Amino acid sequence: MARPADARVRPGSWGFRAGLLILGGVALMAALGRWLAPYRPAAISGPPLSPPGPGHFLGTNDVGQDLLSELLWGTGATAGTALGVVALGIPLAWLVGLASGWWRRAAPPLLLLTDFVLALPFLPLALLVLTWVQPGRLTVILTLAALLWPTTARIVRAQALTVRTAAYAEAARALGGGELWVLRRHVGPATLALLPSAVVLMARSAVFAETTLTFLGLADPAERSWGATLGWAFNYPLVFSGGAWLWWVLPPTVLIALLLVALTWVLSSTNSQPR
Amino acid sequence: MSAPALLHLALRYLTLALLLLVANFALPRALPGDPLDVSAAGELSAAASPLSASARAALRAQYRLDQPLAEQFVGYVSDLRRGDLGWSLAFAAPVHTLIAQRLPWTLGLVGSAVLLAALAGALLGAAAAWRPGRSEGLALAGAGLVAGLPELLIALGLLLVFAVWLGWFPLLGGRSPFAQAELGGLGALLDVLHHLALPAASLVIAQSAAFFLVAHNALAGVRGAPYLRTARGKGLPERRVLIRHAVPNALLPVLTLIAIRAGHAFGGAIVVERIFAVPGLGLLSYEALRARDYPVMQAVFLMAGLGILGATALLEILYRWLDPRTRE
Repeated sequence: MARPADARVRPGSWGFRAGLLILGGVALMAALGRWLAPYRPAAISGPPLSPPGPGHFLGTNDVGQDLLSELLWGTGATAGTALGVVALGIPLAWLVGLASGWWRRAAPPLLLLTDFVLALPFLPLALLVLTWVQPGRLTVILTLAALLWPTTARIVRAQALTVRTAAYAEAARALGGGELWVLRRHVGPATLALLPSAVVLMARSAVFAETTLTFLGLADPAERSWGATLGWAFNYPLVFSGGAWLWWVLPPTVLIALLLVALTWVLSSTNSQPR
Repeated sequence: MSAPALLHLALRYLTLALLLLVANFALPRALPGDPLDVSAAGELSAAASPLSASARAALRAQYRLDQPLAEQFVGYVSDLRRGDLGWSLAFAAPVHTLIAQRLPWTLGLVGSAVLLAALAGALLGAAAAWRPGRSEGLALAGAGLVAGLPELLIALGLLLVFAVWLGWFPLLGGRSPFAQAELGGLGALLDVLHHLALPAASLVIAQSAAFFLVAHNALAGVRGAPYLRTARGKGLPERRVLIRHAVPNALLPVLTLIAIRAGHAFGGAIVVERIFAVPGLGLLSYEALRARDYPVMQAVFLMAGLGILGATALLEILYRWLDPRTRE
């Protein structure tokens, strides 16, 4: 019997390095974008729909705004949303997962909640919530964090259950360690070890969702983001009749794809099972 | 399936459906904002017009907002039982007629896409699991990549290559104008299929990666199982070992996944219908959210949620019937 092929990328493999390189580039663009941008994104800086050329490296949109500046400003929005969702969602998921795996009495209601949120249709619900409240950076982050935690919570719970009943936890109890000791010394650290891959997974889901939501127009109209640039392009009826899609639709598409592919490469090297 | 088990199942799914109703009822009431309050709704809201106090009171009474919550909920459920989903703010029509007009497009698109994705993904996953080696690793890495891409990107890629660059498929729409008159019945059907090819392909590609990974996982897990060695020892040809003995094991996870992915595919359909302008529920929700038409959004969410619950329940009954191990 041949050994099953292992498709995972390991740390140090080219996939992991390329992924980190792209993520680093995106982080730089997010941090410095607004200073690197030649124009303010809202400024009308050239003739409408001018193709890439000197002065406008990526051309302009239908009202003459510089698209390179728009993409540079938008990087911060996409990356910032992903960071915000992870910062809120991971602690929430970890606490719920740990509580439902370790504390028997809390388990049934927490499990019901987890499964219920998991069973809800994600995008229609996010759209409903954001139609009701004013869509903006903060509300998008809150909505996504409130909807994305269950996957991680279930992984953490499974690990907590395994460790709680493991032989070495049993041994710790036999030596006089209380339940809290087992939680602090064994269950907690074992679940924390899962978090790096959970962070990348949730960040990927957040980028995935943020670009989709902003593409559909659920964002603060004054803010830029890659998805919003695409959304505006699709609102211009003639974008595919001329060559405008080449510099208006293609660059944000490639950027979003690069970011998601990089996150997938980094994710598959952090030893987690692909979903 | 025994009667108590069936009852238990029914009870669980009724509880979940009730939770869904409560969520749909409570969400707009719990979130900040008041549709009758102009300053809170913002200038984007379709309902944002300055109202006199008496007009506001009349509207509050019409939507039962002046009653206690419990009575509001009872009224809401009895409206639903009559199929009354409310009145659209943007389209000047009852929500249920809007949904009835758009539903066939989305049902056809999502239904066929999920079934095709399940079939293609499971077959490819089985094939990959059965031939360990370099191609298996590549296929797994590829499926992992596709699983991480949103429908937005897949649809954009297909649109740019096959509609914009090569021009093989129409850019947008669900059918050509006057197709029925010019092409006749069969011609019109082919025209619809021509229009739906790229949207459906986007959904199929997006969904098939998950089926590939699950089918591969299930089959790779039994690859060295003793009962397969027995089957081979009996002298069965390899194809028969795979189809009769190994594949049934992969069937259950794939079936379970169908309901979950149908929910994802519905979300994907919102984006894909927006990109290709297919006049289905997804495009309706897009138009509704542009106008902040939340009665429509609420109805779409409810339909999607109930649809997923119903599909999950059906599949659970189906696989209890298929799998002897889950019968008592």
